[in-house]
Amino acid sequence: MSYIRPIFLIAGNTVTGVLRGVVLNVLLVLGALFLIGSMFTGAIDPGQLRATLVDSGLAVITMLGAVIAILTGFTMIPGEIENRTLYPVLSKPVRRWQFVLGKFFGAAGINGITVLLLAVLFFAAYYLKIGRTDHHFDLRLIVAVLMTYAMLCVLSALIIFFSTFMSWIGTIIASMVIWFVGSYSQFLWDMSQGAEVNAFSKTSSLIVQKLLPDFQAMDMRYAIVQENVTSFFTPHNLIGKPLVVGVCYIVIALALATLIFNYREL
Amino acid sequence: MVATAKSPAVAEPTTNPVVDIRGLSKTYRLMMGKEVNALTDLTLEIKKGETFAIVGPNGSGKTTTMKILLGMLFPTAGEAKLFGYAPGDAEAQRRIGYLPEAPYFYEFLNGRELLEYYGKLCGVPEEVRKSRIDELLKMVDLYDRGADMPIRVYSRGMRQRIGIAQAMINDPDLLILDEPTNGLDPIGTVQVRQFILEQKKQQRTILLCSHLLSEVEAVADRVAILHRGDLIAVGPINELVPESTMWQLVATGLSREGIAAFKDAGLKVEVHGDVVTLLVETLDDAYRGLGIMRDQGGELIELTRPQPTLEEQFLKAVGEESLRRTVDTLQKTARKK
Repeated sequence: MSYIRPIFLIAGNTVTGVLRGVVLNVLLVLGALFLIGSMFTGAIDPGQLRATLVDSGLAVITMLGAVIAILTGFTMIPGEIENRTLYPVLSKPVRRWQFVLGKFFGAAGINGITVLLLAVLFFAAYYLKIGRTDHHFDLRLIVAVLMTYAMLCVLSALIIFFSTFMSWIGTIIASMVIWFVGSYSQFLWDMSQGAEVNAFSKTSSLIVQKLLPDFQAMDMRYAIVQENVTSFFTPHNLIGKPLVVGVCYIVIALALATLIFNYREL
Repeated sequence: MVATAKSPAVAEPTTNPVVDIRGLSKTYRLMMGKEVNALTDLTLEIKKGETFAIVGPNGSGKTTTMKILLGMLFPTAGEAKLFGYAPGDAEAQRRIGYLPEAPYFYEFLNGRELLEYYGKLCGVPEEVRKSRIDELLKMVDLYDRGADMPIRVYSRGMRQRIGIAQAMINDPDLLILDEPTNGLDPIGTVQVRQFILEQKKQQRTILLCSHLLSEVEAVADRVAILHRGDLIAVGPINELVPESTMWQLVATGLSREGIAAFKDAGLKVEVHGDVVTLLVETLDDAYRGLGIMRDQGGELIELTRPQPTLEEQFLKAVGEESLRRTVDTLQKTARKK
């Protein structure tokens, strides 16, 4: 049997488990209600309406995606150990690294389903509210949604990494802190570099900023709504660097997760 | 339950042990530098086709041994090999079927999906998988009722049965069963015992871990007794439980003089109301006792050779070991003083 097959079997089983569970479905219904609610935004001028819809729509996909990634991800490995479902799996010809990668790809699959379903609702709301009068479809929205998906995959890789050595409570806390710091990295950075901040705080915030992923750089909302950039690629490539950095985070997080899990006693 | 036919195993020299454990030790390091020895210098061999049981009270090191064999724990010293491979090696895992203690499976899957999943993980070819799943579901009596039910609604017995089926999905050469009858009702216990006996007939190697000694006695060829991480006895059941040479006579209707006659003849008697029990070590003494009983007008109601059970041997061995440890500790304390 190939090395790849067990990874995708574990990933598929992980996705099945989450789809048949309650958490994802409840949160998706909640997201759908938010997006439908955004259609009833009060009458303002068309430009403002578009900005509000894009801002709230992408925010719902990002925030809800992150909540789903954390709530479904933190149990993926600790839950298997606590429920002892891990033992029959690892007594089969499955290597530990295959299990870790399987869990990551399962999480990536769940992120994909979440983003896809919410994006479909978002685009439907966008079309119903704006698309009827303005037939020009904004392709930047698709790129923004894909970047959100990439962002959630980075978050999932970090959750998997934490869960290989932390309890589920520790994993939730660490994931939420990373998500918060990464999502407001620029704001926190600006705050930490003020004149009244001491050198120690400045240095530690520099380390934190360099160490943790910059989710804000992957969030295209600001570029679309606030900076109103017409293209993500010219004059500056806003996509390339965050994507490459994101992939590096995923690779490093999974390599460390595999290493730790390989030596962990179960 | 019925047996599945064991396909011819990969040719293997009969001299090579299936499980080879040499000097295996495991120490758990706790907080504040405290250490607990879970297993000390364990050496064991399990041969092909053998049903081997590890018995011991809670905390004796049974589960630690199994977890090391499965690659879940790492030994502090010594080594273990399965089919010549290190624990956790995929080549070894391919030939193992494992039933964990109180098994928990993915609750969102039904019985058939669960077997399908594990079958795929084991690399069982699709053309074989479907028929084997049907066969196993029939074997564990879940084919008609349970195969399409989610595991979250399974009873304890059904979980144990699907656990047995998943352990058999890859037609393993070595079955590792951790407390297979734990929590089962008497019917379930008998079914599991029958299952083990059927597998034994198929020459499958079985490593059984249990604290139910009657269960072990009924199925195992050899037994290892563990106590606080130490191997205190190992051997075939008939060696660990030697054949009794004692005779027991039970009689009623004996007068005081009759009872005194046994004592006068140097025979030891126990009296409980009207019932007199005579325990003698040789057949000659048994004949003598019978003669006195007839002469004194007693009525023989039972003549038996009471066999010691594994449980008695186990308690004896564990008791001796505990006594030895206590003496050692006292001696060490005395020396320190």
